Amino acid sequence: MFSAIASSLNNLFTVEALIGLIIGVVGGMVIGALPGLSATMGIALLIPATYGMDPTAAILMLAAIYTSAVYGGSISAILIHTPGTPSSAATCLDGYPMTQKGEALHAIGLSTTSSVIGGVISAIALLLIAPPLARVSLKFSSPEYFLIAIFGLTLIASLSSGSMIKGLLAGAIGLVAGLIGFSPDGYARYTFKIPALLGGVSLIPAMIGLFSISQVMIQSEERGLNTTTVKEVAELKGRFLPPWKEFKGLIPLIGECSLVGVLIGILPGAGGDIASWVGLNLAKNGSKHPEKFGTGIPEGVAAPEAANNAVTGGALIPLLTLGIPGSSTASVLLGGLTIHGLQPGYQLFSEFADITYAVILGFLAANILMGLVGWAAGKYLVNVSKVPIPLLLPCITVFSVLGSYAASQNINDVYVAIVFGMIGYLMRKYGVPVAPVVLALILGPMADSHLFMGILQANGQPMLQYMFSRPICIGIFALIILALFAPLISKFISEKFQSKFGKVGEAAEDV
Amino acid sequence: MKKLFALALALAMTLALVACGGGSTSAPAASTPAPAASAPAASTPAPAASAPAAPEAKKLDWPKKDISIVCPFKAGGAMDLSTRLTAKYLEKYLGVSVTVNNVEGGNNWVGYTQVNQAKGDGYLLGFANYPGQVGGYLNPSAGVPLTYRDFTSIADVVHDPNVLVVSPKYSPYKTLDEFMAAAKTQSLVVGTGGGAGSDDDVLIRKLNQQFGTQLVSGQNANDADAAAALLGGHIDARCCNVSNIYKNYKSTGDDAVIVLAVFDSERSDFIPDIATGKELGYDVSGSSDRGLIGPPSLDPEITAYLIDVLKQVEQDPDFQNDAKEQGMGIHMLFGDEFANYILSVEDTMKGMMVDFGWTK
Repeated sequence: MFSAIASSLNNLFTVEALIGLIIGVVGGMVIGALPGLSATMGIALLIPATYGMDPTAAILMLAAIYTSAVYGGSISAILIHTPGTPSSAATCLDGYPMTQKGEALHAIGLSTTSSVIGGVISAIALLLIAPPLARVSLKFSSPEYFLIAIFGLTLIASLSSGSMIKGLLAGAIGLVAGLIGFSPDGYARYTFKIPALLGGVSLIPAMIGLFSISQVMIQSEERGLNTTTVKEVAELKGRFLPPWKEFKGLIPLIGECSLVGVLIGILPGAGGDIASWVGLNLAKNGSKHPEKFGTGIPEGVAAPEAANNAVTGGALIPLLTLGIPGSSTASVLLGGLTIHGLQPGYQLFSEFADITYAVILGFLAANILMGLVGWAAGKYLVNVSKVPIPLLLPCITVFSVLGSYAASQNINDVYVAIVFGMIGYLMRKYGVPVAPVVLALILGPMADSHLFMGILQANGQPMLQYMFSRPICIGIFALIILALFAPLISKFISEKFQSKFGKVGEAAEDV
Repeated sequence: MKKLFALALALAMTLALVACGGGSTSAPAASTPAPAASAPAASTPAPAASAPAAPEAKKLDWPKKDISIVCPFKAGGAMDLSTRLTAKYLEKYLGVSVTVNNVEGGNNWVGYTQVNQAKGDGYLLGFANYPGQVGGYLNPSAGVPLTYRDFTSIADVVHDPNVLVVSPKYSPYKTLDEFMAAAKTQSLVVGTGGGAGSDDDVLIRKLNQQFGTQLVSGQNANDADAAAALLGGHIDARCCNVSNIYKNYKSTGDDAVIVLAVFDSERSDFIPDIATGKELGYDVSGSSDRGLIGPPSLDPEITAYLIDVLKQVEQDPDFQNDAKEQGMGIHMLFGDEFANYILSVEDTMKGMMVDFGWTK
């Protein structure tokens, strides 16, 4: 492992990778600070732009956008009480009151410090956990991957924060779309003899449609209905870095929230939004003065910000080792990996170790750089949230169409993006979450081909008997059963916290 | 070049967004130029400064402008590398710029169809993979209306023979003889890098047909899956190509493999100490072949000229070095020879239609 890390440094310190890193950090912050753009949507739009880049630079840029956008979201949360991404909704509660008290810069400084610490801890966790897990992944074969895909599919119920029926409906749409194309044994399914459909639904255009085009449609519609003006940005005063005395007291809390964030990141489906609420609750439970939360106290900013950034590295752990996205943003990143020919799993840590370790180390650097850029430019970044929406929407549309074409220079992919944009629009209109569609579109074909391969491997034995002869399969079975109860738990958590802390401003759409 | 494009695009987008926020009125101008920059994802290398003397075969007034080659596979894969290698040397000898367009989708038929419908003026050519393309149209459920006859077969450029590998850690069979003997009495699962009709799959079926073995074609989704399954001891063997294993076939580390045989008429230069199937008493050949094709209406004079050029390319030491670095076996077949080879592939596969499950 250490020799691989050493040789990956050559890959990291190239002009291209460093430029990718800087663009990722700055661009991610901008995307995060914009209330209309979440990390997921930003990455879906930018994947096609990485197409011609060197794989290290490309993946590094996308990973940097991820962590930086989660941090950037807190700036608009603190200054204008509007979370830039769903992950920063919890930060509003104490962040904005601090702004009202005239401590805006102090709050941003706290958020920056905790985000950096959370991000760095998650990057270290990624570096320490992923390589051994990748070795273990060799013990996984088709029966295990089939069950893991099923495990991921059961988590759809927990991804869908509202109604479980609607979540399952979305999952079913993704599964059906995933059936189009060749079956694992080479039979063309649901292609209606149209050669353009033989390759199945292309993932990236589908994601661009679901996450971006539908969002544009919804926002244009809302734009026509109301004419709310952007809130005035508070004047920025105070010192940026938290005083040492205050910071010293926060260290245990930040550390604890970071570890919890990493764990939540590893769980498929649960992302930064859940982690930030859990972090805030941890802070409140451990506090000597829980009644002060919501009045603008440092703990209320530090805890959720450490937790949501810690999710990013955690979510990359199952993504890189098993191909299972740990959050909906990670599922978009999977698309980025595959267009660069990088298949998650053992190969990433052996054959492509140079790239993988460079990305992981770069991700660590991105989290530190994020702090420096936030320190230098954080307060100016709030200007980004003043971008007039009517100006932003056409730009996103152009990038959506262009991006879906550029990935494979196939005009049919543009039609895929538009069709999925319309499907996504209708889904959002009726309150059906779109993230499960993407998860099912990734996991459905995975389950399909691994079931087929598993049956071949069983070599005549009944499939269930074959699975139960494999210990790892039994373990995953147990996880599946556990996951079936996850929605109950997560529903409990979110309902409890939502009512405890009151409803948060204008929470961005969870995409 | 294209890397810079991509970075420029990303930078332009970021700057555009920042600019949008900074000034509330002047923003639109900043964001518009970005889209135009990203459209050509393929690279556009500058024409070779000094083209070597063209072959004297015929004074043909062609090419007069840049040529593009459609690669129906994604960038970065083996097909893409083969196409780009060929494009690089066509450029050197033709003196115009030759660009590669990766047109994916439709199980590669979006790209193939573009080539089929191109004009016969030779400015749009394509790269095809065999037996992949043949499997694509023989499968009746796919409903592809074209066959290899709907293209001009110009030259087979890259020839990548099949190999059979086992894991030294898990496999009780260390030689091809032991493996084949065992496969006659029990079914053994062999991983492949593609589904029914891929070159790996066809080789396994050929072995079964000729030697009565009970090999089960694993039909993994891709080469990475098959490689991981072999390393983890989940499959009995793996069928792949020389290019997949020439780098690590002597490794003794985690990724060590035993190459049982190379299935070609002669040994491969990349793994010279591995015996052929024929030497070991199993006379079967299989390979993945990648070659230059054109539309059916391609001017025969242009075809002849391209063949002459490629014959020069084949002898070019720079070309040979580049191919060697990428693990690509070069064994060119031209014109009718190439078409006859595809016909033989088609014949073999037609004899396996029931085996593939491709009956109507």
